[in-house]
Amino acid sequence: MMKAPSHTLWLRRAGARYGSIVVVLILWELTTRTGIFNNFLLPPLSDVLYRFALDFISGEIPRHALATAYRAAVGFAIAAGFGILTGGLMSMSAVIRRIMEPIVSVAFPIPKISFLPIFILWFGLDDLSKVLMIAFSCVVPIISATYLGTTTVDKYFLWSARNLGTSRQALFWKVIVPAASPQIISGLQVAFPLALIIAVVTEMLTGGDGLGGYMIRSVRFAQSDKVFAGLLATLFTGLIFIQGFAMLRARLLVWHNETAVTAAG
Amino acid sequence: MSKALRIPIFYLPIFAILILWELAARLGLLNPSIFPSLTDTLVAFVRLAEKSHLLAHAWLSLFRQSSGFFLAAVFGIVSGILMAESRTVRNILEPLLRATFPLPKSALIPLFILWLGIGDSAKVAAVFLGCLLPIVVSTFNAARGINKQLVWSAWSLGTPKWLIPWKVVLPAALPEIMSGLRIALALSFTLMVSAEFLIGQRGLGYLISTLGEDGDYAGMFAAVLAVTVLGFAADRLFLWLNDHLLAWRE
Repeated sequence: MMKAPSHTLWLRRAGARYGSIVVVLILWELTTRTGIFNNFLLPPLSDVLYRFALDFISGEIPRHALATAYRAAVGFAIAAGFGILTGGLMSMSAVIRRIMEPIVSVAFPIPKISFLPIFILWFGLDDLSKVLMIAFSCVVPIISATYLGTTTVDKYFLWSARNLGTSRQALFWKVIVPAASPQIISGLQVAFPLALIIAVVTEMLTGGDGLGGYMIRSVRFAQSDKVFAGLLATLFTGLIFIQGFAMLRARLLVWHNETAVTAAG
Repeated sequence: MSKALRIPIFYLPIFAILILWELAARLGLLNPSIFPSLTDTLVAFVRLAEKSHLLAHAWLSLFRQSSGFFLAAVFGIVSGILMAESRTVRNILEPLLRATFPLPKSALIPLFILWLGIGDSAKVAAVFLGCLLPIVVSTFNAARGINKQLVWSAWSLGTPKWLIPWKVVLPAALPEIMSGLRIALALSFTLMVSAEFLIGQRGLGYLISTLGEDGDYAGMFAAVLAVTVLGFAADRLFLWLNDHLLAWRE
């Protein structure tokens, strides 16, 4: 291909990266302003941004976003700790594997959110039931990713470590977990969206603070601009977490081949 | 070990949990007002089936879940393949996908209440859009990762260009597409139950929350059990289908 001058190349890249988003946003504004769409069902983009800005400055959106982020992060952290430990133990001990394998295989497909009313019955309407629900939903994919990652660790690593007299515990934490960390982190990255999905649903059901509560209240009071502002805030919350994860991954896996590849590409 | 015995033996820990549950309830370790025993739950299950139209609720839920899921599968696979095969489609769809990917899909439920009210269509739409993105992304990745020599050989053997995505790329990418579909299937049940918790009448999610509000906790546990069994059965049916569809491999 002929080499284009650098400034048009930049423009073309930006066009390919963001072009259709910009088109959709412009269409959104134009169709709503000209009255093609009902402004209650689809408020103009500028109204949504204005509402977002107002509720952001008043502190309403940041407060709800922090509540959601806090629950998702705590529930997810519990799931990560428990899941990595369980998955690792499954690959170390045949007994634990024998017990956990059918449990994981049954727990994977069931809609764990259906347990929410039971959790609310047991742990109340506050943070505890929400956080535990999030942990319960995220733990299964983390267990299976960790188990798969730790069982496929290069046998030479294990043999050399054992040869050098590494204890069982050190073998697990110093050899197996680091060697399996790309797969474990992938598992965490797959499970995390679930934490936000469940956080938002639990908040919608119990009301109160959090972005889910903010949005469901806005629907009930027929404030459609707030519904969209809430969607926007949820999107940004998700984006921040996903970006954070990607950065953490690059940092933790600095020694791994994949980091060099993504850095180059 | 005979084949008939292998499955029950594999699931032994599950049976152990169920027996422990019953024992703990019998021994008075569980507070019966908030944790009914397994037998109470099963009795309530029969009662729900006879008196509360459990089956009708279950059919309705399954209808919402499966129509959303199938629509998402068809649209998702077609657009994922087209994205991988056509630069124009990719340039249009990829930025939109990247922009909406971080959104937790359950956040769309209020939007569909706003747009579609509290009927079936809002729930189907929530399941559809929630499952669509993961299916598009996994199909796109699968189609891009196939062995290019398959495409070249098909081409040189005279396969028309427009047929290649469907006759070559799709079958080659199918194993990976199927594993994406399996994850979306689990998500479809989650979204179905969440939407039913929040809106409208009828459906298993609705049944769970009303039974809970009435204080009929054995009934609530029975309805949760029904959802659990459905989700599990759908997954095993999917795995069975997967093995049959991919029987030509190896």
